[in-house]
Amino acid sequence: MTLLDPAFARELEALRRRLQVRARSGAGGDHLAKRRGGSAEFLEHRPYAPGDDLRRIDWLAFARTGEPVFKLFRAEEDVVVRLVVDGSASLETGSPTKMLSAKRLAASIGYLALAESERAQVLAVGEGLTRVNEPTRGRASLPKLLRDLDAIAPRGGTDLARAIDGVVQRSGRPGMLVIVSDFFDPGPFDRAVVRAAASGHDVALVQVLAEEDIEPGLDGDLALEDAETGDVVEVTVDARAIEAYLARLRALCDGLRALARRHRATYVRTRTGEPTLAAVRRFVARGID
Amino acid sequence: MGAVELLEARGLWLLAGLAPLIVLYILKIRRQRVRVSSTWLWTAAQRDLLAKQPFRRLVAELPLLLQILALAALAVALARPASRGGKIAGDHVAIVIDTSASMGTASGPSGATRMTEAQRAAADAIASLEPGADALVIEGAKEARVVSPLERDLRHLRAAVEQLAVREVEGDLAPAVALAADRLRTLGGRRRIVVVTDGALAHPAPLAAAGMDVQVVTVGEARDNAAIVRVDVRSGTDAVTHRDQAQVFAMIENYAARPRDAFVTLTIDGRDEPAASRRLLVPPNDKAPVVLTFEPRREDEGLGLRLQIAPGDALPLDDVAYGRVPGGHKMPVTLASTAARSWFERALASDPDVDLQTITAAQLATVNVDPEALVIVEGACPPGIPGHDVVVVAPPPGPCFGIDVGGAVEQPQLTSWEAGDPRLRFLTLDGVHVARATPLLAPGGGASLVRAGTATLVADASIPGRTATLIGFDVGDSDWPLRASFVLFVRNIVELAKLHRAQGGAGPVRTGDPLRVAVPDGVAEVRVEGPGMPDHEVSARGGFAVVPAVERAGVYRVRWTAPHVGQVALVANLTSERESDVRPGSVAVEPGAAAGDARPRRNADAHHEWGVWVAIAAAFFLAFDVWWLTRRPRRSLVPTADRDQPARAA
Repeated sequence: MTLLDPAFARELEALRRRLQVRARSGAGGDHLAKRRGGSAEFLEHRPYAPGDDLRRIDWLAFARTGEPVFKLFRAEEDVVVRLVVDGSASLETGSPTKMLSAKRLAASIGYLALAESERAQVLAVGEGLTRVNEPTRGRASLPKLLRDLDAIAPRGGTDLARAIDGVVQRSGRPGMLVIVSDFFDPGPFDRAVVRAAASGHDVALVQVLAEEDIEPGLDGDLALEDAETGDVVEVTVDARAIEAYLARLRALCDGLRALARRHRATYVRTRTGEPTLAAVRRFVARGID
Repeated sequence: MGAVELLEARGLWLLAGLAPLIVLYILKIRRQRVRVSSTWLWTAAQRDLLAKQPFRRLVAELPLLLQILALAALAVALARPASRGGKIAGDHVAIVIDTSASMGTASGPSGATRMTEAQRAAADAIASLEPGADALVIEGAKEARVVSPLERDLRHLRAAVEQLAVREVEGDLAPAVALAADRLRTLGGRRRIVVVTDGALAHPAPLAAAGMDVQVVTVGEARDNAAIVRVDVRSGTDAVTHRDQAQVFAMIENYAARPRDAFVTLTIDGRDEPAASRRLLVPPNDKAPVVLTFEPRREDEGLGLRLQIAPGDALPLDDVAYGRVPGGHKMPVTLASTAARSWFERALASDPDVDLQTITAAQLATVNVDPEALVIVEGACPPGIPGHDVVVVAPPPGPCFGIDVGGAVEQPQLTSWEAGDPRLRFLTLDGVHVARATPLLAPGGGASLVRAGTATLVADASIPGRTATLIGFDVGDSDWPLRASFVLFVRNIVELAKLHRAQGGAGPVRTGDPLRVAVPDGVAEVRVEGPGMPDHEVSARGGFAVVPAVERAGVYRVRWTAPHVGQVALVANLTSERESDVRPGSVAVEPGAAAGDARPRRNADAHHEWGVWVAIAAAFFLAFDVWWLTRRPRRSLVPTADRDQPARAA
C-alpha cells in the first residue's frame, strides 16, 4: 500500500492552503511568518523609538500627526516542517499497524508542506534520534519524502524526550515540529516538548493509537509482553483491570491535551481504523482533540 | 457449650497437604502470552488496582483460597472436633465424678488439675440438662458418696461440684455407678449416668448400670509421672559397725517414655536435715528399688519418716510416702509354755535377733508383755493374749480365736500346705510325721494352712490388725522339730512379726482404708490425730480401735490413757501403681449397661461432634471452587462509551 495514492493526494490538495504554521524559520518564503520583518505586507504602526531604522518611519503619518511612527511589516519566511516519526517497536502493533498510520499521516502533512513550497524533513526517532534525513522542498521532492518515510522500520524502545531534544538541538532555526507517535513513553517527554515550544517551534502532537490500545480485547490470566522491551507483566485481566487501564490511557491523553493547551500546540489523536483524511483535516485546523 | 477439642488430632496431618497444594498453584500458572504496544499502562493500572482494593490479590487467588479452606476443613473434620456440654438427654441424670488421687495430676502449665477439668466438664453437663430434668452428684473415690441429692436447682448442683476435692485414695468407680443406678432405679422417665474420670483407676472393673445409659467423659491428658509405689521399713544391723540400723526399702516406678533422674530423700519428723538421700535413675516404663539406711537414736523410735522423690512431677501426691522409725532390731518374743524344754524355746533362743521372754500361760495376764511382741502360747488358748502376733500351739479342744479345736486324732498324714503363705515360705513338710493332733475346724475352711486329708492341722486365725496362727498339734509329738522346715517356720513367723512391728501393728495401711489399731485389753477409748484429721476420740473394744477410713497419707498417732498410758504411730500411704499411672486410660462399661452411647473410649466421650458439619463445609468449599473454575468466561465489562472515550475525544 502506498503512503499517498493519487486520489488521496487530490483530496489533500484541497487542504494545502489551510495549513497554518506558527513558527519563524528565517529564510524568505511564501509563508507569512509570525514575527515582524521586512516583507511588503504591512502589519501595524508603533511609536518611534530611538535606534529604529529611519527608513521605516511613516513620513506621511508624521506629516499628519506630527508624531514619528514606525511601520511594521510581516516577515515572509519559508518554514521547515520537521516530521518527527516514532519508529519504536510499539508502533508495529495494531491492524493496520500504527506505523503505517503514522507514516500516512506524516506523508500527508509533508505533502501539504511541500505543496506550499515549504521545506519538509523526516526524522525517525526511537530511543533518541535514529535517522535524520535532509530537508526537501517543492512538490518534486515528494518521492524522496515518501522514501524517507518508507525507510523507517519499527524497532527498539522509545525515549521521546531525548529524541525531541535532539531534534531541537539540530534545528538551526525553528519550524514546525510534528511529533507522530503513540506516546507510550513513561519518560517525562513533556518537558522536552516545552523546551521545543520555547525555542520557537510550532509543535504539533499527533497520537496514533491502535484499536486494541483503546479497546483491549483481553481476558483472564495473561502474560503481557512489551513490544519494545520484551518485558513481561503478568496480569489478570477482568473488567476492573480494563477500567484501570483505560483510566491510565485517558490520563495520558488528558496530559497531552493539557500540554498542547499550555503551549499553543496542536494535538490530534487518531486510531488506526480512522480515515487518514479525517485526522489531517483536524491537523490543519490546528485544533486540540 | 464447652470448648471444642479434637478427638483425633492426628487428622491434622492432612494440613501437610497445603504445602504441595500451594506449590502446585505456583507451578501451574501458565499464562497466555500476549504482545501489546506497551506494558507501561498495564503496570500502572495494576498499581492503581492494588492501591484501591488491597484484597484484590486474594480475590484473584480465590480458587487457591477455596482449596486451602476445603483442605483445612477436611483436616479438622478428620481430627473429629467435639464439644463437651451438648444437650444431655434424660429426665434424671446422675453425675459421677472421680475424686481419686490421680485427679490431682496437673493438667497444664496454668496449674489446673484434672479435678478442675472434671469440675468444668460436670458444670457443662449440668448446664446442658434438659429443661425440667434433675440431677444428682456422686463422688467416686474408694467409696461412693452422694454430694448432692436429686436437684433441679442448677446453682446447688454447681456448688456441690465446686466443693469437691481430690482425695489421696485409689479410685473405684463401680460403687459410685452402682449407687447412682440405685438412686435412679425407682425413677420414671429417661435415666442417664454421666461419669467424669481420667481413667486412672485402681479398680478398673467395667461399670455396670443395668438398663441405663452410661456416658463416660474422660478428662486429662497424658503426663509423665514417677511414683513411690512401695515402701517398707525394717530394722537391721550395720554390717560394719554392728549397730542398729533402720532400713527403708522403696520402689520407684517411672511411668514415662524417658528415664527419670530423681533424688530420693528420707527425713524424720521434726528434723530439718535429711536422714538419708540417694540419687536414682529410673529407666523408662520401669521400676527401680532403692534402699536408704540410717542409724536411729533411741528417742527416734516410733517417729514418722517421710520419703520423697524430687524434683516433683505432674502428680505430687505419689511423690511422698511415709514410714515409722522401727524399734531395735531384736524382735521381742514372749513364749508362754508349760513344757519344760519347748522346741520353740530352743529354736528362738538360737536366733540372735530375738529377745526371748519365757513365761507360763498363767502369767500372761500378769506379766508385762511388750505390746508389739510375738506371743507364742503352748498348750493353752487363754483369752486376752497380749502382744501383737500370736501363735497358739496345741490348743485345748474348744473355741480358740474363732476356730473350733476338735478331738484328738492319731497319726494324721500331712497332705498339703499353703506354700504361698509367708509363714510357710521356703519350706517343705514332706516327710513330717505327726503322732497325735487335734484338727482345727475353721469356718469356711479358707484359713487352712496345713492339711491332713480333710482335716486342718495348722490354721490362720488372723483378725484385722492382728496375725494369729493355730497349730493343732504339739510339735513335740512330731518329728517336725528335727527338720529344717521347723526352724524356717519359726524364722518366718518372727520375720512376719518384725514386719508388723515395723508397720506399727496395723499392717500396711492404704489411704482410704480404716485403721485397725491393736490396743491393750481394757482400753475403752483412744485419741487419734493425723494429717487433715483433728485430734478426736475413737472407742476401742476387744483390744482394737477402728479409726474410720483415712483419706490422707501420713503418720497417724493413736494414744490412750487408761488403764495405762500408751501410744502407737501408724502410717498410711497411697502407693498405688494404677493411680500413679496417669497415662491415658479407658473405662469399660458393661454391655448390658450401655444403651447406645455408653462408650468408654475417649474418642466417644464428647457430647457432640462437629466433624460432619465441618466436612459439609469442606464439600461446600470444593463445590464453590468447581463452580468458580468452570463458570462462563467473563467478557469485557467496559461500557462502550468508556472504551470509546479516548477515541471519541479525538
